[in-house]
Amino acid sequence: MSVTVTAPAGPEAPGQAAARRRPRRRWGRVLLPLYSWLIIVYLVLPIAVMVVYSFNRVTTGLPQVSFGWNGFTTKWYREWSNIPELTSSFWLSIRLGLASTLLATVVGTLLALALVRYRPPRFRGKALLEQVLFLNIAAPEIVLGASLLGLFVTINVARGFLTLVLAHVAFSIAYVAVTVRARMAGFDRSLEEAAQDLGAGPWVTFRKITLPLIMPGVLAGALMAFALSIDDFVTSNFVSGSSVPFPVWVYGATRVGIPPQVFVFGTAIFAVGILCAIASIFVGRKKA
Amino acid sequence: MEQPVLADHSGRLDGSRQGRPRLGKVLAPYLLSLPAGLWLLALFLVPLVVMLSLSLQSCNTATGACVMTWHWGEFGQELSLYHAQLVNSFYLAGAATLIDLVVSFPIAYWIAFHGGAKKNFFLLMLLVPFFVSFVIRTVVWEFILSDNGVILGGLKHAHLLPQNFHVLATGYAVVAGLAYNYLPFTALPLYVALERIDKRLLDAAYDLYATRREAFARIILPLTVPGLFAAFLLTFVPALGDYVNQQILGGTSNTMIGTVIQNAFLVNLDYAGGSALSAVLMAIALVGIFAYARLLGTRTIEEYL
Amino acid sequence: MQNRYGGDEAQHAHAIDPAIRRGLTQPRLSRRDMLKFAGAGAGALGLSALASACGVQGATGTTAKSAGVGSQSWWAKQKLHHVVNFGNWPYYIDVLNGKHPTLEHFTQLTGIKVNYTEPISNNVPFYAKIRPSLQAHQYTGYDIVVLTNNSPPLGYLINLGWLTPLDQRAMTNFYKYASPLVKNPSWDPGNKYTMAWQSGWTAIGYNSSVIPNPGSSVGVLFDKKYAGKVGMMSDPQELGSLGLLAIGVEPATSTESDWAKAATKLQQQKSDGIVRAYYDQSYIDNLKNGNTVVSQAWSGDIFQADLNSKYRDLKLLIPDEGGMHWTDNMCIPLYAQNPKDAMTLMEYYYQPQVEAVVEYYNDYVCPVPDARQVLLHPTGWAAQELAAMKPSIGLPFSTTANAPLVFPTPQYNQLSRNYYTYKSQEELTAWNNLFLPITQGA
Repeated sequence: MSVTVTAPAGPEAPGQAAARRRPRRRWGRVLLPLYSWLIIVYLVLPIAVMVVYSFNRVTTGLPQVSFGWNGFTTKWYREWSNIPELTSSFWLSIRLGLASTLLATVVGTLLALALVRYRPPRFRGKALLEQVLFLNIAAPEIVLGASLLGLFVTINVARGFLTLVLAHVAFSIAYVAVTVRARMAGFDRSLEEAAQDLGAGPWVTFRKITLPLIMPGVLAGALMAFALSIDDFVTSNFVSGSSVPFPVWVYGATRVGIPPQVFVFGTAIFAVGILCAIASIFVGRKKA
Repeated sequence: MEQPVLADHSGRLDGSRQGRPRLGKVLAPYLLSLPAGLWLLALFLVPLVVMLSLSLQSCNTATGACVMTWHWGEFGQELSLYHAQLVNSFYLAGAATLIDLVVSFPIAYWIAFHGGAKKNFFLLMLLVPFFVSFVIRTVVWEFILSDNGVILGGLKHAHLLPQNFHVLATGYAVVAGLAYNYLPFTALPLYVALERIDKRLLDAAYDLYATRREAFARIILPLTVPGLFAAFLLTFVPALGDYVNQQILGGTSNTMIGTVIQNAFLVNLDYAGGSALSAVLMAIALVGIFAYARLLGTRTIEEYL
Repeated sequence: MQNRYGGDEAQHAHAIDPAIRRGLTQPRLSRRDMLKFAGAGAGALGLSALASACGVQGATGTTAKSAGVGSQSWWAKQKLHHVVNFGNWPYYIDVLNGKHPTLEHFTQLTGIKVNYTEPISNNVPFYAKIRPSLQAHQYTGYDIVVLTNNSPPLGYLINLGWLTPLDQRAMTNFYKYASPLVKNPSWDPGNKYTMAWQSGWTAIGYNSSVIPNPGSSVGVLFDKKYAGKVGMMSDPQELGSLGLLAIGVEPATSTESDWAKAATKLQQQKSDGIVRAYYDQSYIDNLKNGNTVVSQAWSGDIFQADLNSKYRDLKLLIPDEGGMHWTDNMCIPLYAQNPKDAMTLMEYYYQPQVEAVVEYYNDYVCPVPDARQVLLHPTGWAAQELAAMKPSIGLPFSTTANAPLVFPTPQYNQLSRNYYTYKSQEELTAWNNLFLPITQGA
């Protein structure tokens, strides 16, 4: 896998050769970062608007979100828990997101490991499994939701938090597996082999060698799973029973008008996400 | 010197081992994929097949009682009613996916190659906006893009746009919405594919006097192909079945097949029709995947021999 | 008494959709069979069996009538359990500091604990959620649910006998205080099954600064002057009813040929480029943002918008042809575990004091006209709660009391029109097949 190259003997000054070896410096330093930050700003734009309008005053009547600016107030942050069902739906979605992300990441990563390392004939049914994964991604959410409701009714499982977790993991596994697998596709087995040569058992090898190396992919998959879960409406609507996840409540409230506290919760979720992002810098630095 | 015991993953015996490969080794792939396999079987495949079988049944809309009548005509019926919407969806989702691929590649490239210690930060920044509920995001986009809102109003005021110009209620708004909502689905797989490219290969290429363009075209791009495939797949197919963006941002003539399916299930309670259309959607996706994998499959496998 | 099929109760069975009858002649799975399949693994025994089970067989068997549920003798045997499960739409009840004053007061008065949830985001999906329980003869988890009359599910529930008939003798408050608009309504003659929660009108919302003089006809929605800036609703019942009003037909007495003519008119409106888009509840955002200048609109939304100084130009027009009057109705699903507690709660909300508090928060059409007097001259508990809510609502009580959109005047009552009540599944299918292609056409 390693390539041995001898530098050509020649009259070049070392600096010149080095400069040619990294000609992407101009791109890398200016244009790409600028572009990337622009994209991030674009992605964050509607969230920023939401944050701004979470401080919007409501003049009279049923408190609801309004895009006509009425003045600044922190009232909605002080009265954030004013609407009991909204607050409980928010906490439900958080718990649901954490639970399903944890399960989906573990199950999906194991699956990705299997898919990357083994091929037929050692791994019979691999192709079939891959088709099933793609099918899971391709299936319209509404079919997943309706079919799961049918299943839960038939086997007489009460619809609630449990069925929500089961459903959320079911649609997240494929995304986690595909994401982790893409990361692992060029994974260098020699490190693992070296560890095992040195006497490490499979679990130790996994914990100390494999896992840290695939961690970026695993984290990406976990993030995807969490985003999918916390934002899921269609499937959740079908299998939630009388428990009401956050997106379901918000969508139902649009008939009357969504209360400003919805923007407060949205801001809170976003703030936590940003904090995680910032925290990851320090984690990354420690590793380096 | 003692011959090292090699961790042998092909199942072949080498001389220093005694007996057959341990049972654990043989079962490894199956054990690893067991949790996922079981979960998907019980909570995806079985209910899915049952639901799809509804497309062959005749259902009473009110009670939900269904009778198997092997009504293959359902597919033809639904397709003849809604083929225009299906084609529409291809155009809209396709455009959004292409935009996403073009837009995501540079940012994925930058994070992978120049992210350094802050890689995870940027990845999170790509995903965090999507932690916020789609209802909120779309309502806000509706506000931002409104005819006399912040952006368009300002441009019209400066006479840069005609007074009756509008973005909302057009196909462009739908594509923009789709591209926005599915961007992380494109960027993340691209990122992971780019990230795993061995930088030493690039160094080697430059040492061999490759230009920047050559290095990109002949090293980076080919190695990214599986990632491009994953990114395309993860974006196009869900976008094809999307309904929210078109409902809120679209006009009278951009109906996507996702909306039709949504209406079938949630307005009409026509489970047979909705299942038939969903089956068609998934069949198309599978055909596309199969064909693509054929083109890509052998090459990918060879790389890892 | 006559049921909606026009025959008497005994002939109810003969008017059932043929599809149901077909289903009844197929071999049926008993619950024990289904459990057997689940145990043996659905795969071996054939997915088709599971498929029929999932679709689930016909709804006959234990309907309310056959088990005597809802009869006076049955109600006499019911006892209070001091708990009730109430499922409603989000944000549709009074709220103060994380509590619901009217519910707290109810618990104080009666000792009945209310488990109040807000799982209903739309009529049809909610129906799809509770239907499997009803088919399996199980408790849905709700003693009271709130469904709208202009959407098929309420009709399905009534027709299929999946609602518990109300205890007429206990409905003293209702018969004393209910407004004429919600007493003996067309979708539930004699209030056998439903009591209104709130009502509203679907009429025409317009921006008075752009359209200072909209006239008084529904034709303003078809005016080519506003091409590309007209919003219509995507719900087939709302859209179709407006089409019928536009051709001068009363929806409640319309015929299928009327529907076809209405569909043609709406199709013409679309191809003339008059309609900007077919909206769900997001029509109000587009009206507020100026993307549309005239739109089908709900009365409550316009009332709310008017309270905001930025949107004061938005007004509601109830045209001469009429405004469609819809009602969100409380009803008790079959197999409810706490029916007597449910009746108590439903009756409680028909006291003027209680409705005054709800209405001050909600601003839809109040089913209890006497609540207006309470708002104008509050006393006792109601006065306390209203005073507590005033800082966050910020409205003088008289504004709510004098709003015709909350307490309709006789003139408004005259302009109210009822939705068509479908007599069979085929009729509903025919209606949807005429109007859905307009909203979801390519």
